[in-house]
Amino acid sequence: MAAIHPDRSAAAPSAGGGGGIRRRLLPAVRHEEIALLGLFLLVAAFFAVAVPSARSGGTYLDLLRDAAPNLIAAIGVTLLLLAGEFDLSVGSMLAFTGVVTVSTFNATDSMWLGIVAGLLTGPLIGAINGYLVTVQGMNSLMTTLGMLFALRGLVYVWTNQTPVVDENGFSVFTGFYRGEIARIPLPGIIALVLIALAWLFATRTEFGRNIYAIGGNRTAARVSGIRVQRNTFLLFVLSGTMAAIAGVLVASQTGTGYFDAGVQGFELIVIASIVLGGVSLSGGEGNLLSAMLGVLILGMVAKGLRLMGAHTTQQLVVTGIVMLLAVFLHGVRQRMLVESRRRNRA
Amino acid sequence: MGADSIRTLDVGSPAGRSTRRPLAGLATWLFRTQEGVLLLVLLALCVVLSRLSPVFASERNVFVLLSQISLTMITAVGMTLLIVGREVDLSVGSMQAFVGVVAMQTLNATSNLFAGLAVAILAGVVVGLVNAGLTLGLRINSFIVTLAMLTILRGLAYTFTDAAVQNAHNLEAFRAIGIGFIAHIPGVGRIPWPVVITAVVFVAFALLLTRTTIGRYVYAVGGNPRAAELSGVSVWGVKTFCFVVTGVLAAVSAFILIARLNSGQNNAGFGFELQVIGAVLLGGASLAGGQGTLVGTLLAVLLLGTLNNGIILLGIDSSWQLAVNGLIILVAVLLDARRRRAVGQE
Repeated sequence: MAAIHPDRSAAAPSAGGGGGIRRRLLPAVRHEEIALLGLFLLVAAFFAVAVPSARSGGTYLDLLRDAAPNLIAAIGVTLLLLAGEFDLSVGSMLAFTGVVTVSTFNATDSMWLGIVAGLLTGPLIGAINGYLVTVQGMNSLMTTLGMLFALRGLVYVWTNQTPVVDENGFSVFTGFYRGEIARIPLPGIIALVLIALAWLFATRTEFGRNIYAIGGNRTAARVSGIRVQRNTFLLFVLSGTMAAIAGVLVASQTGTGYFDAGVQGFELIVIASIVLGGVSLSGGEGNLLSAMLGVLILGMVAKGLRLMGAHTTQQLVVTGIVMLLAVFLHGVRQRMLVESRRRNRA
Repeated sequence: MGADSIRTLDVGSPAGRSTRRPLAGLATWLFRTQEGVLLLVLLALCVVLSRLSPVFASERNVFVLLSQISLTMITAVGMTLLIVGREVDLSVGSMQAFVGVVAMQTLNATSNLFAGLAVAILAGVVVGLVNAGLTLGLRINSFIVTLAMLTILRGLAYTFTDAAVQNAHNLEAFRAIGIGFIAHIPGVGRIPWPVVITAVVFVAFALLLTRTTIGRYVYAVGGNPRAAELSGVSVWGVKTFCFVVTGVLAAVSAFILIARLNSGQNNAGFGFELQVIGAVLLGGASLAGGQGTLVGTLLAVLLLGTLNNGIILLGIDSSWQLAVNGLIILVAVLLDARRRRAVGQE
């Protein structure tokens, strides 16, 4: 079960004036995506006013490239969170996959073999996480925290804490990151395709819809015939696979397997973005597209601040504040929603 | 210490009834509780290490080991209270940098040890209050609040200094806090200051948690906040107390860290928060609240510290530390899951 839980006793605030502004805000209150899209546009508009260079369309295409690894990793983590499970190992996966990929390049002189090896680490680690959580009944937060340390440690031992450089200099490989089709960056296209597939999976298949049932009430789900263990296991495999794809992309950025890729809290940033997108840490609540908007909002904040020439220091501070603000507004929105439902019933 | 909660853990288990025979009771405790299993593993590890390395059991090495774990342990004491009270604080890692930098600057400006210490503790209180205020006042999940605080404090630490604040005051007593010893005690040896501070903090809070009303309130609030509220316990008050204690203890460990390094570094404590939380959970606390003891936390921190010490003593590449820590967490959680199933919990 999800270990961290919001304050369940959060009651709706007493019904206030309920004037016209409130009614006009209702679409944004009802639909998470609209509220988040509004927030994204607000952030983008702010930077467009503040920084001339942020006004070109290229900025947003670049954003898609920069945010691609986070988006892709967030797909798997979101689906797991919806099912009430955590995956903290994605940050270390980024490094592990990258190092495996480039090391295989150097060992076999074959790019495709390297990419396949890198991508295979995903389902493998995911399956280990999934086995420990579902079959052994271990807490997913602790299991993947252990995996976070274990994988990072293995990478350190293996690389001796030096980056693994692609000795063949495969230009096709770095092309994955730099390439573009019709001006849209390749990583962005990969991310968008994966998001579309995951969205179809989550909304159009029985398995996908069952995720909410599992995250909402595991026992009820089991009693009503959903194969909770099998589905949870597969979601871990999916999360590992997505993290591996993100890891290969990060490695293709410079054709290097970095031992410290994702070490500065990648897993926490991904979870924060998802929660910013309205997904509950206790499972069963939220949706994939909103979570992706959450990732893009934090990505836009970081990108805008970089364009403004802000130092990393200010970026960190502003990111933290935006995170708090967004999650606070989410809470307000939910309370308004509860209130408006209650009023409708009355 | 911690006996009360151990007894509650055993309620309903068939073995719990055999406490009439003290030896059987001890065996039950050893094999059926998280603390017992940790103690067994720790003892086994100590036996193996003292066989393999003649240095391991020496007075000098034991105190080196205890000094090394002091920072984690001091922060873990606060974190145990907070996790038992159903909240979590991810900002303790960035606190190491932020408080360290601020305290060192104060020391340099005033050349007064107490001024530096006062500023450090004040910073801890303020961060604790802000975390509590945002979590309880704005009803945002503490995972997110303190994650935002993690990025904000790291950013502020970077703002204060480009790399590190060096010691420009040369107070002798200052270095002693990190690397000095208190007077030689016959039969025991020269005890390092960090070990003394850790022991005082541990004993004080162990007594508080098991022998005072507020300690019981922490368990009550974590176990069932609604019930605690209804029976007249101030959930706000108790949780704020836990947040402030965690902030202050993180600040104390940051102060010892700068005394040890002789500088306040802005990159101190990356990933420290996950190590501390990992140790607390390994010690038997649950993020669902209401469970956990300081004895368990101590044993977990000792186990991880002993392993790291052993890796160094045996001349193994220190890169292995992280990987082995991760594996230990995995094994411990696995054993715990099996134990729970055997005892019929969950």
